[in-house]
Amino acid sequence: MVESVGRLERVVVADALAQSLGIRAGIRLSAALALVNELEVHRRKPNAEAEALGALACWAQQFTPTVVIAGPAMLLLEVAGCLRYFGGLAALRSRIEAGLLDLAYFVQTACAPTPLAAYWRAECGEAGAITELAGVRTGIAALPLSVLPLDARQHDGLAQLGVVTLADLLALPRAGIGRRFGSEVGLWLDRALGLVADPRTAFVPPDRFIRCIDLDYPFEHVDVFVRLAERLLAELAGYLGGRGLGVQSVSFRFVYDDAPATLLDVGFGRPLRRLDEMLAVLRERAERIVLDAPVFSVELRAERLHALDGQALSLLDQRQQHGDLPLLLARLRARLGDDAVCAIATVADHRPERAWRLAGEGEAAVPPPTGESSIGERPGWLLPESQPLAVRNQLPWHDEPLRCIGRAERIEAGWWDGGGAMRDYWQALGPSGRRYWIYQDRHSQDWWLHGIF
Amino acid sequence: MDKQNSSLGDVLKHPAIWRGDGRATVPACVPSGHPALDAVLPGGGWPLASVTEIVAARPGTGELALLWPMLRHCTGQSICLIQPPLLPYAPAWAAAGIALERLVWLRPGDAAGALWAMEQTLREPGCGAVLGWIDGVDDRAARRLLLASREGGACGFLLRTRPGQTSPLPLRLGVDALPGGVAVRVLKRRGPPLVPPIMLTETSHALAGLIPAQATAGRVSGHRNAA
Repeated sequence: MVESVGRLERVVVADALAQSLGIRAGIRLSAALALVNELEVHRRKPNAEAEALGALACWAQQFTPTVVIAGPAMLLLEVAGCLRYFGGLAALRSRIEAGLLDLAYFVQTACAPTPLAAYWRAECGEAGAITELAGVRTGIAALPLSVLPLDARQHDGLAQLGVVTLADLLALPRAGIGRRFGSEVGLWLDRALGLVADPRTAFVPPDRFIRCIDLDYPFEHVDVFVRLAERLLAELAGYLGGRGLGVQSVSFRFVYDDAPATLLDVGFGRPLRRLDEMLAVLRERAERIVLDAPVFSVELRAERLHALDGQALSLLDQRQQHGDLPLLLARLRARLGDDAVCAIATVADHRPERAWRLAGEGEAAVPPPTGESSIGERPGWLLPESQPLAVRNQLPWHDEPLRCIGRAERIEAGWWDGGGAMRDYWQALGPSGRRYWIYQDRHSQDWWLHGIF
Repeated sequence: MDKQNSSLGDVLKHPAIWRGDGRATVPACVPSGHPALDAVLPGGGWPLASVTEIVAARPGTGELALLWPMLRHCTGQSICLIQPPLLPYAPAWAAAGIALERLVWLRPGDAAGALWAMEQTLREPGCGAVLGWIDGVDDRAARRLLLASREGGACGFLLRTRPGQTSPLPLRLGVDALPGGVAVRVLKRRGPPLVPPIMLTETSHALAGLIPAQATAGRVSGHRNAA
């Protein structure tokens, strides 16, 4: 890993193999290449790092409303108010650590009554929790002086005095230190000890969730996409949980190298925020995804968010008892396509083919047309298109002779909109016992089969 | 004698002994709405949390008359129609007393999609009845459907055009339209086999009386001549 400092490029991190070849953090890239000419160099992306930290701040808001972005790789969470809810400090910490591990981040946590003490201890890898303000002084005593954000001259001066740890610094008289190195040295210490207020600006989450994963190597397989989407959705779930929101549909944007970006919309049927529910729908949708070209970047957008707090979410897993029909329909829609899931409704029209329509799922029921008595019995099955019938021995024929029973129902309608129909409908019985719904067109006198009872 | 009877009773209590005469385990059922049919079905109706196979050679051979009464009583839960052979005609289904807003019509393109959809809907406790028109369901797939229905508790119906040779489904019926009504043959059930078919008579059109179509045709042709 290499970062740019001014016009120079310096090595930040080197893996074990590179280290064994003599490459150390801090040397220049040109020096490293002089040592080993076949280096795999990754450039650091500060923008991507900041974006990832912002996303993690969103994610962390599911644990506490007060999250502070404190440094290039540091988040401060104010957890004193929510310990009881999460079942104590240890439980909360393990939950946060496990969640970050699921998102494939390595984390070093620390816990202290003041933000600065927690910051320093986390930076130095001191995992032990300090819960009492009185314990802060001993807690930070062993930390090296490098945690203080001082300039090189001040660090050098303190080092010449033989001050190596914060304990050494705390032992010195404050007034003399202030005169020699400036008052901010004492101020940092007082903030860490909780003697001086240390106000922080809390992180304000964005109104929409947009998160992008850029890849160094493009992918073509849908499985890879599903894995990336799992990660993106996990971050989305944390964001939604922190803000008390749910999302009903999300869209994924695929960026290709030389083709215009494409969008993939995934609808969930109802607002939700649980990761497993979102994944259940996505996995079905994944069956139908076709990637045209290698994908370089995947972006998740959740633009329309719905308030979920205040609604009764399940305390226990409600799916065991009542089921979750909207989610099922969303999964069916994701796998089979939007057109494959529909409902039917009646329409007040006398023409049989227009007396029904496809309806959106869950649409309010239209009361059936009144005056039932004037309308004859209707067949349960309607043919998509009425089918012409041959006439044999003066009887309409559909694999068997059809004998009309009852009285004709004359339907004459639609002359006003161009779809005119002048028909005499009959119920017809075949020798097999099947009952058909046939009509005779009054213009052409042809017989047509329109439905089956 | 007493001793003999008691030892026989002991033997019969053994879990490995299956008695063919009775319908020992009665599954939870909903009435089919046809008293004649309820009388011969084990449990007195359509079994819940199970899949029933109905063989109807063509659409309109009486399967709707057989199933509509059950669907009418399926209130508060959804009814899923998977790949019906023709359009379910909304006015007729509404007139039959079925709540259309609870009806979900699924149109997967192929048999694999239909099977998957049926399995998913059967697994959903919010579905009261699942009707799948799927042909070519092998034993393995049928067993999957049966397991899914155990999970969801719905009343599943697998409608096929040809009876398979064997099937793991516990209840299999065949329907045929006859001039006097609908004949239901019990192809397989738990308990003793049943040979004679059951007639479900419909009275709605039987009272209408027959009008020879010849007379109609004649009248129409006369009309045409006059014109």
